[in-house]
Amino acid sequence: MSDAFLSSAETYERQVSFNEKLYLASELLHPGLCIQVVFETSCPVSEDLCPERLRAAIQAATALNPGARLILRGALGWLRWVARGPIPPLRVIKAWAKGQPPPAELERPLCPKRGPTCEVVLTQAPQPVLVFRAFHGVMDARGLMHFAEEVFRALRGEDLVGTNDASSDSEFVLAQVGAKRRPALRDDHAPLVSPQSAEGAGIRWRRYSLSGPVPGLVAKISVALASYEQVTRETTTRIMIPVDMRHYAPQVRSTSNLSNPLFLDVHPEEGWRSVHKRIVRGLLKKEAMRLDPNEEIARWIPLGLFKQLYRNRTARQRRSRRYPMSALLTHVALRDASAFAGCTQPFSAYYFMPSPNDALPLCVSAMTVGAHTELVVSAPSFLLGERQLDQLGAAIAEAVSP
Amino acid sequence: MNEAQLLGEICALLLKEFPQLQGVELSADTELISSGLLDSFALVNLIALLEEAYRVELDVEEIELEALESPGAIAALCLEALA
Repeated sequence: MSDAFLSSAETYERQVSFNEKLYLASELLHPGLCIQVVFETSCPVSEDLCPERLRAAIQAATALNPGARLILRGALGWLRWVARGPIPPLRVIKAWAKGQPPPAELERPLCPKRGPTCEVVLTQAPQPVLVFRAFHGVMDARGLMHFAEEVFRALRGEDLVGTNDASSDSEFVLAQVGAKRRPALRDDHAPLVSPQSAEGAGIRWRRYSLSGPVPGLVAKISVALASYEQVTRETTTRIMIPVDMRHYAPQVRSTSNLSNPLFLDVHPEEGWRSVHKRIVRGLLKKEAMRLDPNEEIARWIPLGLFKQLYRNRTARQRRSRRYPMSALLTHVALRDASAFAGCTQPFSAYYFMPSPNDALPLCVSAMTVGAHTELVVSAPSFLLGERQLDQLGAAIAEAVSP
Repeated sequence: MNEAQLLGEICALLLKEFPQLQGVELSADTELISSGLLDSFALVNLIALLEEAYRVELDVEEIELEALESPGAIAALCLEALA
């Protein structure tokens, strides 16, 4: 991996990985699969975050991080991302009042073929909200955070760090550990809650704010989920935890999707320390650094056919109420908010807002910045009713409250 | 090397390698995991650092979290591995 900036749009290309092909298929079926990090502030927009300065900062960040302007090119095994799309636009929209549903602009799909595949949204006063959004096929949460950090560096007038790696997740795994594969995922896990009273399209979600550090957060949430009422009284709950593989190569600076799943089967009687130890062991043994067993063959399946296969599988999952995991659980932790200081604009909360994609049975995302954690619990509307989501969310929040 | 010396080295290593511990007055009993000071990946890094620093192999299958909970516990773990 070179340490030089991959700043030339002509040179930045990235193979579409199996995971990203899944995201593309999902996007074709249900547009709007985005990673979205929200910055809330309780103050009026300062001069530092005025649209003109933000646009200049976004342009500067994109110049050194071409992964923010990717579009799809090629076909079959030559399907790839190229940095020839539009620079992420800044969209200034009407105010988003607290307690109100998110604006429609935050459910707007980002087109992988024409772009932009990344954008920044600023809602207006009195309490502006800044949202960085990216189609999940081009970035993971850490990749989007890297881009956001670069924008804030530009706002502060600091030198940017740029991108020095254009590996896909599978290329990264191959380079780190070779062609190790994980077992095929089977749809043999029921959702956590009986979907008796649920209906509706899209997703429902709830947000919880926790103060104080939460040691073993992922382990505690896993135990809380395993302990919750289950439909089939299965003995274990399968948790899928995306692991940011950049931890294994700290010199890598990348906006790519470089997260792979770690799977944990958690027994309801298991304590959080035991689960925490298993997570640490899984990280030490690099268990997330595995290729999907279908990695190679999937490259040669046309995207249209791949979409059909994906649609058939998700339809079967929805009918049978059986999924490859019980829940997806993510946690991004930052020591402090200094990376997002935009000179004078203080932010009061940071969280990942879910996109309206109902493919997964349950998602819990946590973002810790300093001593504050925001928790978001989301589930498809056809699986979880409002009351059930309230109960489940409250149970999770209570389990991790300091 | 006795345990007190090892404890001093462990504390120095922790302060050097983990910026999140800057400003923390480390003692033998400082809770590193329960307090949230070190998260999962930090523990992964810590094990690798200890193995490199003391030329020992720490069995990840057998290690209990309590053995990494405090500088004192870590020192005891390393002493046992060195024995």
